[in-house]
Amino acid sequence: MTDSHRNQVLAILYSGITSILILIIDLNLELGIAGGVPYLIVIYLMSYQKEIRYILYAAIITSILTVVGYYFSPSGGETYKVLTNRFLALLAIWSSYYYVVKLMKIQYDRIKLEKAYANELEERNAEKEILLKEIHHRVKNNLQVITGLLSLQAAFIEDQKVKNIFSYSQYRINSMAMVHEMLYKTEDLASIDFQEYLDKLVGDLCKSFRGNNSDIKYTVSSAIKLNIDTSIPLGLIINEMVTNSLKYAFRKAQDGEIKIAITAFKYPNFRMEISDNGVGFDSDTFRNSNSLGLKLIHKLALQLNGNIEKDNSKKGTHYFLTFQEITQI
Amino acid sequence: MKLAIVEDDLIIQMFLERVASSIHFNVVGTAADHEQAINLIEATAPDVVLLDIGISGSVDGIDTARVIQERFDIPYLFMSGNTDTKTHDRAISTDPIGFITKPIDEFSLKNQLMQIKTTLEKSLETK
Repeated sequence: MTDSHRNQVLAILYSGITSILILIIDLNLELGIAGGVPYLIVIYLMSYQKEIRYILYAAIITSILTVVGYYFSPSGGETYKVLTNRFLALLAIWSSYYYVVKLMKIQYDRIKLEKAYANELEERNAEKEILLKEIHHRVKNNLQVITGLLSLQAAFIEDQKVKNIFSYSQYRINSMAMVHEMLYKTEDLASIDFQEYLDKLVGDLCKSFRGNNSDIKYTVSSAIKLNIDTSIPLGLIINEMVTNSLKYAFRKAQDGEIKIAITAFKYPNFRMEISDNGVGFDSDTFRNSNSLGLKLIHKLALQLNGNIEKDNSKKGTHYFLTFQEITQI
Repeated sequence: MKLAIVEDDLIIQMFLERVASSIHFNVVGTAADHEQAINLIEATAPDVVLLDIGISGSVDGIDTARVIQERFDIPYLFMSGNTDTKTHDRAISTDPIGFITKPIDEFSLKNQLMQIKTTLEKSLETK
């Protein structure tokens, strides 16, 4: 039984008991006393009912009881006073009925309006969601067109170095397009599962560099969700780091391994550890390089309120990046 | 190996054509919607069709694939950006020989197409 149902049953019960008590008192009082007026309590008690018909029943029953009181109470007082008392009691009962019903109707209208407003809000939200999905879809399509155009243009370039520059640009754009593609698929359209993103990003990069039977092993672990403003720069950072590993680290293809782990760190920070077991490079190059890739890494780390360190104590290349989830308003 | 491309974005169409040609597919033509696709396949009898799921017009790539299967019995592989589970499952239920997710990475695409080419060539040889 729900709370509102219980209240309705209790209202009927209390009204019944109250009616009987008032009737008993009325029957024991002389007619000169306005014994019917307390029936108003019954009408107000019945206002807990959701249906107006119950209040009507209460008004009819208490009116009958008022008349019963007139016939069965001990006589006393002048006739015109007795009749006036009974008439005033009936008037009070029916004016209270009118007042309670009017209040209930006002409440019904208010609830109806609130429901209509809530429905309208829901519809508007659904429309916005569709629109947002469509935008992510179109952004992803447009980014795909850009990579397509770069690829078509690259076909006319003979210099392998320049060709490669076009390829790296395509990787960067793809890392962004993947975020929009994944956001399109999410329920809240706000944040993406970074584990899934890393799997696709790193998997695609390895395949691009080494073919379908890539001999580079990679492990990614990231049980977090990140919003678009964080995912795009972080994705680009990882894209640069993994691309660098695949380009330079593994001179001998065998046993190449890339590891990425992102964990929630001291709030509001996250920590990413990314490493390869390749040939590595020195810290000076890392800090003062002219390469676009490394410059992007430093700049994008700043964009994430982050700090990047290179650990030279281990074989290969090891980075530690602490960063925060960014929300641009 | 003759390849037909069905993709409604003409730049992506050009991109796919170039990538496929670079690994020695003979691209017999391109189509942007269901009707063009059926006409193209009828006219050129390709060995394989590269088919985008979200093509323009009232019939999507998956239903186009069903027609290709029933009328021509030609293998096809899908491309899609809208890889929500429902669409993905519906596409897979038609038994394609491959599924490429967008955004398409040029080098991954090359690898996937080369693998399919090798598999199809082998199966054609055994026939």
